[in-house]
Amino acid sequence: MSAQKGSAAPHLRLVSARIGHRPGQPLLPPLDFELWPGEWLVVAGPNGAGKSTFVQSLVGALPLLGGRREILTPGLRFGYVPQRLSFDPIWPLSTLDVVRMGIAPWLPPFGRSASASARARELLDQVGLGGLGDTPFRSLSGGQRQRALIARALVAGPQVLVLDEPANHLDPPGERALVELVSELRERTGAAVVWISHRLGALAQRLDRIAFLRAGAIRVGSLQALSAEGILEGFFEPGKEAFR
Amino acid sequence: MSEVSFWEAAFLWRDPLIAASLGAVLCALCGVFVVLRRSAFVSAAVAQASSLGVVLALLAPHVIGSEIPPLAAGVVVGAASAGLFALSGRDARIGVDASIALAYVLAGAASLVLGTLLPHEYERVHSLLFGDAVAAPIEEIVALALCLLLAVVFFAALFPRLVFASFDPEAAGAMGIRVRRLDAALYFVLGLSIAVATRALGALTVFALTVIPASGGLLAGRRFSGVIAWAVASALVAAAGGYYLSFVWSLPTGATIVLALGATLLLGLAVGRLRR
Repeated sequence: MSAQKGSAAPHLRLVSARIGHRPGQPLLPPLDFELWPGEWLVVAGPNGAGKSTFVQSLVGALPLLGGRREILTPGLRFGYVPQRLSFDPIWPLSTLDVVRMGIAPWLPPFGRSASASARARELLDQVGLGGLGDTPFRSLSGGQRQRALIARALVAGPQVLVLDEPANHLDPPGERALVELVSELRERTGAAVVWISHRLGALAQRLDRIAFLRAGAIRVGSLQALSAEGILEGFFEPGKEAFR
Repeated sequence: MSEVSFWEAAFLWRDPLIAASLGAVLCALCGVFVVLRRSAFVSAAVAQASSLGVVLALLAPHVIGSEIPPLAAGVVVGAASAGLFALSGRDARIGVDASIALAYVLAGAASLVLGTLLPHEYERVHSLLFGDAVAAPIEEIVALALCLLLAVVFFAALFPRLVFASFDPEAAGAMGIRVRRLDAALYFVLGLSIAVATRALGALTVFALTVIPASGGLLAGRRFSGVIAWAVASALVAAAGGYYLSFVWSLPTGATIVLALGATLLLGLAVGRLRR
């Protein structure tokens, strides 16, 4: 957790938070949690454990069923990369248009951002899509779309970058390349990374903490600590990068 | 062929043509989002919901003993029904297309059943709902102009958010846009516009104006701005051209406008092929 050592305060805090979609049916016991500036947090666990629900509550897209969510960094911005890569192809949008969407939540009514296009092109360069800004988004391959969506998530300069199971469609080399890319972007922007995954793979060498969800419970700690406690038993085998 | 020339009869067609032009631009603007969100039948459903509102208003003196303005009731119920599409459309168990279909059939059936209690009012209900494309009272022109102003301000103010929330609602919500609230506002504007335009131009014409110009724009254009420009321009040309042709050839005005819109769709298809 090197990222949080030099930080005076977390970005946000959940206090006795009850998360879930239906009132009276929280997925987890009341939860206290802090997200620190610059940290790399992996939200892991088997399918259906509530990883996405936890992260939606964290970013504020899903209201808490109880407890409270405190924002400690004024004007905290989230960038979000969805799991799905297929979008309705009838939308007449260029790749640059899609990347520029990321600034929309922060524009006032009638507002337009003159700098968003330059920033979007810069990010497209950084994710390896320089020169494809004017290409229709629907013409991009799956991998290119994912990179464009990462650029979209970063265009507003968020302090937190959230990726929802981004490696699901990737083979191991593709996953390693994606982790490397996000790692480079994290270095450049200083953003905290929240990476949802049902496997740890190439993340094991990068992450600061894991929030591990299974069977209606959540444990948060370093990979070493959770492994030593046997929390990850049957899910992660150190040294093998094997995941179940 | 009419015996009076088109230009000599300007006093006859000036106001209806202004109404048709305002309605065309209004519906074409709304239609871009209607088509992109795959909600093409929203216009038909709003017209049915409006008819239910009119019938309920006409029944009000018999049931609650007080008058409710039927036109206002039609517009309010039509716009409110569109807002409900937004709220139900994000429900994972039922899509927005099914919500629109439910509103269409249930409002239509309710209007028919309740309409049997008003056997002498059928013509009035029809007239209140669908107006007359060859006559345009000043209040209809004012209502259309106000709706167009509202729609232009709404789209200009929130365009980037509307595009993001419509294209990728999951990411938009996670990045801070209140998607359900925005959807409800969008459908309310669509519903209000369609209800007011239906009164002035008729249901078939409004249905066509919300679907065909935007479809032509998507066939012809590559960029969002080009799609909007094509939709507005083709709707205006078809409305004015259709009105002119219906006058000089004594054809039904609404249907002629729809066929003129069909011609612009073919033009959009041709332009799109040439640009490939």
